[in-house]
Amino acid sequence: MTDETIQKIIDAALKVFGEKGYKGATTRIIAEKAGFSELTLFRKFKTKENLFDVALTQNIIKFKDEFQSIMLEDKSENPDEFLKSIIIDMAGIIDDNFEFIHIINNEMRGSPEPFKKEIIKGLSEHIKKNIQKDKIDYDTFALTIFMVTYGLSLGKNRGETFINYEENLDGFINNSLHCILSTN
Amino acid sequence: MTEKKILDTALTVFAKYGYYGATTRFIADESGFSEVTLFRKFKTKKNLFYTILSKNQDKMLGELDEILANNEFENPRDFLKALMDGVVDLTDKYFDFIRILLNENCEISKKALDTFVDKISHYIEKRFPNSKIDYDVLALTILSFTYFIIFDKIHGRTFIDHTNAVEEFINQYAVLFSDK
Repeated sequence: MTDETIQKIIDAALKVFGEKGYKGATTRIIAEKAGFSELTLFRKFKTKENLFDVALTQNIIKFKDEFQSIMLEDKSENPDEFLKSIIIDMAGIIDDNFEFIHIINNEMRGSPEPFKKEIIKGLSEHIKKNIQKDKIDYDTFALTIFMVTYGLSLGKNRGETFINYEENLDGFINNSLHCILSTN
Repeated sequence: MTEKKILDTALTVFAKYGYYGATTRFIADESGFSEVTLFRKFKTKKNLFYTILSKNQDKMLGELDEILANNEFENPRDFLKALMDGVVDLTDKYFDFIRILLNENCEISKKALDTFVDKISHYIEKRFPNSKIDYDVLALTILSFTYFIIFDKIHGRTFIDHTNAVEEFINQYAVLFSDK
């Protein structure tokens, strides 16, 4: 079985698990979506459970990589610029990985807690390092960034117009700047 | 009463298994009634599903209205606290319904989510008008933050202190109203 086949199955699985949930997804639907037979799927992955675990693990690594890249990039001197770009960057990777994040936020299978914790804490530390204001609870702020950018992607993926997404993201950036920079 | 039992059971099953994963057979079994009874009362799985969505939406909106109407605090911090506490309780109580809204992509779920955001957004704007605030996003922020907290709480594996998180959220956002 080629790597390409394997990847197609994993990609299809992510989409189907995202759309239908773990329990609602079936290996039959996944196989169909990937363009292969169920037999092919079982030969490589053995069970639905295993396929889910593989898909999740792969995407956890992918997301963490993209997340680390963002952490390394932002070096704006100006707090306004920094906050704006970190929110835009987070929104970007969450949107790119929407199905994965949707699964993370709605399924308990696969114990996503350590992953969520790592991302939110990582984001929190990164912002704290760059903003350096005392009275802010950075964990809470990081959590709002994570959840709101997810919520905006959810709206966009549900078929609301793209314009809403951009406008709302701007609105979120403005609200956030307002909150963070007004706190003394 | 038969209807209520089936509706309550179906809500739990749809939330857990999704629309496609849930079967009328399973719902009937879990509710203690026959599939025949289920179909007699609700005709189709789709109709059962839509009935649950609309009933829960009406109930939840009604309770949200009450929370908003009873919040007479003038001080932004107190206002936000009462609002957050209310939304947290509501999200907890209607969690299965909200899960369905988030997981099922259909007209009803889209409209329901929009309605909640609108209601909260307009309410806050009326009470604390300020041209610098994006109220729709603020409402979305409140709802998505609360969803995370309750999801975390219900699954019992927390990495944040929920009460503290809500307090900090209020601290962070109360600033928004004080600045003009």
